[in-house]
Amino acid sequence: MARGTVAALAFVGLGSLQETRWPEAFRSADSSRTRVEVLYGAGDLPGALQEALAGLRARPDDPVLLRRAGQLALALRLPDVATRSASALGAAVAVMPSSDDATRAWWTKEATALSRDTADLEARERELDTDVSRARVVSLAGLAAVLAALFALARGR
Amino acid sequence: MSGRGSAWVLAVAGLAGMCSMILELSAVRLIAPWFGTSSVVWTHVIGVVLLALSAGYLLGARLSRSANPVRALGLCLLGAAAATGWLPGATAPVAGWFRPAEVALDEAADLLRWGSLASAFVLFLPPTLLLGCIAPLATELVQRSAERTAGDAGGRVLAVSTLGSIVGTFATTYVALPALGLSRTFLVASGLLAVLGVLVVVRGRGAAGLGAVLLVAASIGALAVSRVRAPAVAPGWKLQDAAESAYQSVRVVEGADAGRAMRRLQVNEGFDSFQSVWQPEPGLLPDGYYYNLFALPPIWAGREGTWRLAVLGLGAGTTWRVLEGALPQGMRLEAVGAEIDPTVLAFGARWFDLPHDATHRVLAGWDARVALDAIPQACDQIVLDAYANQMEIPAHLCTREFFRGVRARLATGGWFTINVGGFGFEDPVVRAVAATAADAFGRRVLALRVPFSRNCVLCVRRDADPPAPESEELGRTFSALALPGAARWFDPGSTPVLTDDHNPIDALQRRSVEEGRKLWLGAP
Repeated sequence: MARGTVAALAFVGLGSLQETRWPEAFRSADSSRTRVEVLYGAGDLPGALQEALAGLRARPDDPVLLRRAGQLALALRLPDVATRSASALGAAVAVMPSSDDATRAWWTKEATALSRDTADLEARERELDTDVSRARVVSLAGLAAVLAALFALARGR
Repeated sequence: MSGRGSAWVLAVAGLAGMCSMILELSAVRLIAPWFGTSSVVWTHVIGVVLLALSAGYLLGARLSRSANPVRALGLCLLGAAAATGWLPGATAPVAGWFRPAEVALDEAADLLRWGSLASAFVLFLPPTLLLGCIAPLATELVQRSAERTAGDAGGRVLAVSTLGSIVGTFATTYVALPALGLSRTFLVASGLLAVLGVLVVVRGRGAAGLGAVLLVAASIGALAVSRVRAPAVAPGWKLQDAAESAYQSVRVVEGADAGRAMRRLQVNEGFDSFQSVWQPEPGLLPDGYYYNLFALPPIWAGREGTWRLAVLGLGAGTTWRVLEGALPQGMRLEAVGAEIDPTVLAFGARWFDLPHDATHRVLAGWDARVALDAIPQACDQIVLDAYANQMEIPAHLCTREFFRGVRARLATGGWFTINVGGFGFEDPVVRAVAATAADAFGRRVLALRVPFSRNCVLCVRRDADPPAPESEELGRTFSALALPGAARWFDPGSTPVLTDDHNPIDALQRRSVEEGRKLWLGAP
């Protein structure tokens, strides 16, 4: 595990991070993205999401943070956060400067994928709600039927 | 009907009582793969069974006033036989209708509650209602026999049916489920009820009737095709072995994780959990497996010699195997492990390389709390890994009294490490177990988040403190722990402290699952 984590840190270029907690360089608002990636690489998905949301409060249209927040919300099955992130990313990509067509195309593709996955998650949540409603109706109907039968049988001669 | 002639009625009442307990005790096992075996599930099943019995008693009383109560008794037995026989085959579609596959634990709080209740109604109400009819019908028949009063007849029927229930209780746990498995246990009960039903209908001297013929056909059909179907194995994984133990359904699946060949031991197959894992080489597992954090104390100890380890909740021996491969050079393991389920140990030996030799002592069939008295004094580390999953922490294994017993078995400076599932450090279950350990040891508890997982590992020492998360010692061995949010202290005086006398762990577990994802967002 230690090896895996170190590898994750190395992947984001922070192999020396284990020496301290947040180094000074990572405390600035500009480092939100980095902190999110470090926490994500270290396997703290809720922590990474909280960090991304905190970063978005300062820079609500940061596409990197929006994309990661959306992905994390999907992984943690938080449909509200995923939906908000996906819509905001779509809006941010729409007004993104188009100096590089390839970059813009990549972001458009990412935003579309995030929207699609978010829609899937919402559909799944609706299915779960339906399942719970069905189980509740069957339970309450069963209870009512047995109680009615008890009443009828107890009164009958 | 003479007193002698009523003996057959009492025999029927006794055997029906036996079958009703077989059904009741096996019922939770039947739906466990979908809803687990938490106190919520037991409460729902027992509640539905009692409700059905109550209605059955009144229905039986009504039927007892019919022209031919013997025939009514026979039909009730046949109906119960058919309904019982179809339970194994009907469970998968019914439970699966209320709780779809691939639902994660934190999504399932409402489904656990309502799904288990709805499944219990659909599956267990019909047979238990019909079995409830037996006692009043039998009482009527006994009373009609030579000069019995209602009280005398009722007392005799209650006595024999209760004796039958006792036999059914012990036979289910100790004989039927381990020897026959779940499907055949239900089918044996169904077959017995069907035979009794046919004999009683014949004795009733009426025409068999279409209803009786149909019920017999339904029972025979159930015997032929009704079988338990466990939830499917996850894609990419292959079922290697399966058994019914006295405690649970156990199975071994094989596949790959993070590119490594892996076996998992699953119990009751519910949700996304596993009880033990195996990879070809001993040592640390891929990211996300909490067992790896159990290896930290011997690494931090940094000494040579024997590391005396006791594992409470050994499972198939994963903790032993991880530590074997992760110990520092010059350190060797002397291990003891307690596991309540001998079938799990048998699977451990067969599929998980579980050793049983001079340096690896297994306490088979021991509850973790009872096993405390049998593990050696002055252990270097005691691991508690007996919390089945978020919904099923045994109350007697998370109390101040138990943790004090653990402390007494540790050497000075020895480590107590606990695996506990939760949604971060603010999770009510994590807080309660950590606060209780801090209180019992009178020391700070270090809670470590398991990367890529919903688990935490709690560490507390006898007469010493674990290294601080920001210390070089800790960061050197496990860099992720140096990150913010990776660890947290719980000091003595934290609340709530769970005791043998007052332990609301069931309520805390329900709160944990209900609030889980909100806690992930940092909301209290």
